[in-house]
Amino acid sequence: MRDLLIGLGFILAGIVTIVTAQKFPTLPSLQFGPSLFPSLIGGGFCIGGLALSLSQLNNIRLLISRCQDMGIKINAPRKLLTSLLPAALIVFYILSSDFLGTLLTMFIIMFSLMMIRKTRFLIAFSSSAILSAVIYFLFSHYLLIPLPQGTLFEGSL
Amino acid sequence: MDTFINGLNLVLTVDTLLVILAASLFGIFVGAVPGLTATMAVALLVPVTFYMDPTPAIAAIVATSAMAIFAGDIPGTYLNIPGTPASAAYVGESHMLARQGRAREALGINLVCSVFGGIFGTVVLIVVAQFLAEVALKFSAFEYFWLAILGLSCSIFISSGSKIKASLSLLFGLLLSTVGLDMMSGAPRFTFGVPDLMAGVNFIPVMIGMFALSELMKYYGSHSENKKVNMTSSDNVFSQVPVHVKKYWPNMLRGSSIGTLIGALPGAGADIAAWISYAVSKGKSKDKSQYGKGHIEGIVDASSANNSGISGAWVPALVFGIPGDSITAIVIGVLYMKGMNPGPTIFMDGSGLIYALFIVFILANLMMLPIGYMAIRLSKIFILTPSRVLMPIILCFCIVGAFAINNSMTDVWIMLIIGLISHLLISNDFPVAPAILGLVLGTTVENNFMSAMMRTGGDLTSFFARPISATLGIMVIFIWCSPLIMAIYKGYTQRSNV
Amino acid sequence: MKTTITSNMCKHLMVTGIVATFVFASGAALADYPERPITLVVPWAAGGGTDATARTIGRALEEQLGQTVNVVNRTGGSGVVGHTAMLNAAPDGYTIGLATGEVNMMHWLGLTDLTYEDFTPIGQINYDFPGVQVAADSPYESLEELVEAIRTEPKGTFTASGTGLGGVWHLAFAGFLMDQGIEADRVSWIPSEGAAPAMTELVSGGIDIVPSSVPEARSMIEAGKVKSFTVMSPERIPSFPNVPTLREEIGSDYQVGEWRGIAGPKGMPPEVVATLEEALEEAYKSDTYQDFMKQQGFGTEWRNAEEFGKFMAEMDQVFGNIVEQVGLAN
Repeated sequence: MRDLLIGLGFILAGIVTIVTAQKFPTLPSLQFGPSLFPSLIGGGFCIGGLALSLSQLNNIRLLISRCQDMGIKINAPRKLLTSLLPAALIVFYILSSDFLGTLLTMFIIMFSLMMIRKTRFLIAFSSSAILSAVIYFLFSHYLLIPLPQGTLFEGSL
Repeated sequence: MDTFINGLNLVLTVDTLLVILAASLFGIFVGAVPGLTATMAVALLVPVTFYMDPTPAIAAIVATSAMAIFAGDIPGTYLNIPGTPASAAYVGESHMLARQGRAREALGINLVCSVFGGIFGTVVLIVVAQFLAEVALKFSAFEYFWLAILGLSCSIFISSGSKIKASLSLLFGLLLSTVGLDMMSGAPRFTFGVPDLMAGVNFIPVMIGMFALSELMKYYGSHSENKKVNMTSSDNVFSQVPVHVKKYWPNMLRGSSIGTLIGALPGAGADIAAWISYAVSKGKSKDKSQYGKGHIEGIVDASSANNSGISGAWVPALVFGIPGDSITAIVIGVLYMKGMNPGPTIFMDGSGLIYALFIVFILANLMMLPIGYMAIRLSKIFILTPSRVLMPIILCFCIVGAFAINNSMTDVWIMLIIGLISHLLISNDFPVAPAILGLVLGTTVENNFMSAMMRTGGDLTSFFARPISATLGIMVIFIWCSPLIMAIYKGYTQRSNV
Repeated sequence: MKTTITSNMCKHLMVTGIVATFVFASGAALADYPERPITLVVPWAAGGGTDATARTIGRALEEQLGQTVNVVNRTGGSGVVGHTAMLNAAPDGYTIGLATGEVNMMHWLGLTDLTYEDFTPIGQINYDFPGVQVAADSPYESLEELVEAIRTEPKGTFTASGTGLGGVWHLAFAGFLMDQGIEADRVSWIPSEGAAPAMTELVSGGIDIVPSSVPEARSMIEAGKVKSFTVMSPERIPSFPNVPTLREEIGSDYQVGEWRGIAGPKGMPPEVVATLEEALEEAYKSDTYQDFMKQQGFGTEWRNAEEFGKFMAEMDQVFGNIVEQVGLAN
């Protein structure tokens, strides 16, 4: 069932790619230009997606019987939610590091992730404090990466 | 001989040896941390080498890059997160071994092969550099096009499981490679008005997203704290090495030869080398069915190939000042800054610098054995640290690592979006390694194709007009037709048996 | 190490002291500039010629300003990414950049809206001129023969490469053809990622001409694989005394090349610009910078903030004209 949906997704992505690619300019000396490869890839998406979908349709009977087993996977939505946790925290970093600074943001990320998995408070607190400091100083002072310092402390680090 | 002794004197100073040691440790660290890669390590070294003498400066780069390429396999083995695109070819294999409790055995043979490959490449560099560079100069857009297609075909060929899914994954990578300013027309493609996307999608944030972030999401999606990889008392770094070397020494030679050759081509690097040699290994092996289930043989070929490729890339860099890969592109700049102008004169001047360089290569590769051994021993930290503590740390490294490529938040966004897409793909049994190769090779395929077409006015037959190009083209066609030929052959033999 | 730091500090105090007396009225915060490390954005990759130039001038600037100068590479998009990053920074003098000639090309090519008017010029430090390189086994023996062949053979017979489409060597070479009374697109331009890959194509017989700067062809010239007919500069390059200038070869005064200079975002305080300009001129004259550039064969040319601004405006028209003639205007 999911392969069928993903196959359809690829077909859709392929069509979008081909349509977008038609807007690219052409080269003066050749009939084809920058749109050639994206169009070929989009075509490949369509063919591959179709093949994937069709191979699923063949197994449609198998699918129906599998659908009846779906009852077991009732806790799936919750799992999906927790699996999105790292992604959500990355968004948090992108949005808040300019204000809070990398050091503090990393600490919050590590600490909250550890607490969610029921790490002992002391271990979680100390290890995230030490590690975020180590990572921050390693990158900003030794590897000279201009990590956001945060407007909260205005250059005091 | 005098120049050789001069060279020896240049290397055997406390300073240089200390630099090699420090650079090796730095390389191990950068390689072993998910999210940091060899090319980045070398780029980070540039400001530091500014303040060094030529010999230690080059020593630092050689030691760091060789070590980082090997160390990239450590998180690959334990966590299924490869450190470099060169190790993406066999990360599945080595992770399977780790799950069988053979992580150290896999890394041990990997280390020995890496050292062997690195030294093999260096010996080639010393003996036939000038000849090999002449051959490499015969390669033009037509040949690079076929070579890149060959690499892409290999990624489909070696994937286990659904070939449709592998192809779709490859196409996904190829599509990502078209983002940015098209070199041929100068037109921006799929940039959506974001200036940072003009530069295209860098493979490092993509790799972090595909492997590290999706692995993290898998962990937080499950509620089990059980480790997939466990320590077993019988697992030892070097005890199985003699057995494997005895059995697979031809593979080491074959992998190293392929690696050096491909590395020496200015348009192809260690990553294509690893994929092609892994594919050759699978194609020639007697135990094809074991590949992808935790089989040492493919690792032997590919890990020899990627380290010899690193050495091979120095061939065109030293002889003609043409970079063989992204690392030597940086190296050439450093060489110029140090007043060592790459080119034929570098082999002729009497200062012994070139010999110093060769000695540094050998030393840095030998240094990998003890330091690599230490790193493998220490890497049990990946097993001993509870996942609930380890995973948040990896997440932070991923964010900072993605940011550090260009000091840009755009790369963090790219990592996030690619991570979400690949999580969806991986949980539906899509292999993601082909996508990495697609991204790395996509521009090579397209630019060389377009460049060739612009020169010949759109004449497709020109891809078979030059001897090397025609040979490579026929190889590609053969690979794609071989399943068909095999089927016909089988049908024929069966019929004749009846 | 310590002594250099303290001597730097002394210089720093002196410079800021002098500046402080001049700008007393404009507030105490500015008088202390620079009080923290300065970021120097480079729009090209680590290890390349521009990067090396930036790191050298950065080091010389450090000596003058007494503050660390961090070089940050923001690469890709034919320079669009790096130049955009320079302009997006706060105009406080703590983020400056090494602007390159692409500023005069990108907006004509329709890649970006930013033009030279969005920058605060501080000073020009380098000017590199294109050469004309062909393979050693090329049938042509001089520039004159080559130009004559381009003139008489049909359009598209010759191919050249060395940068992307609309890159500096493409436009400079097209401008040269125009100067010779030949259509700008008579030689087909094969885009490449830079001079190095173009050199391999030249040697493997894929293309005919690489009009990159002469130092970029150094190793191939030394290997006897490539010959250089001319350099389009006012004088011969000291490290390549055998390569004649355009004037010596065919009597043309055509001079269009790649300039590099330090610039910041628009709206920088004049006091900060003055401090930087003064420090940059000293850095430019320093042995650190001059020795490095001489050794590399890179051209040095100084223009102060005002002249640099005028120069950018002038070159903008020149490149605008070439881009239109080549047919790339957008």
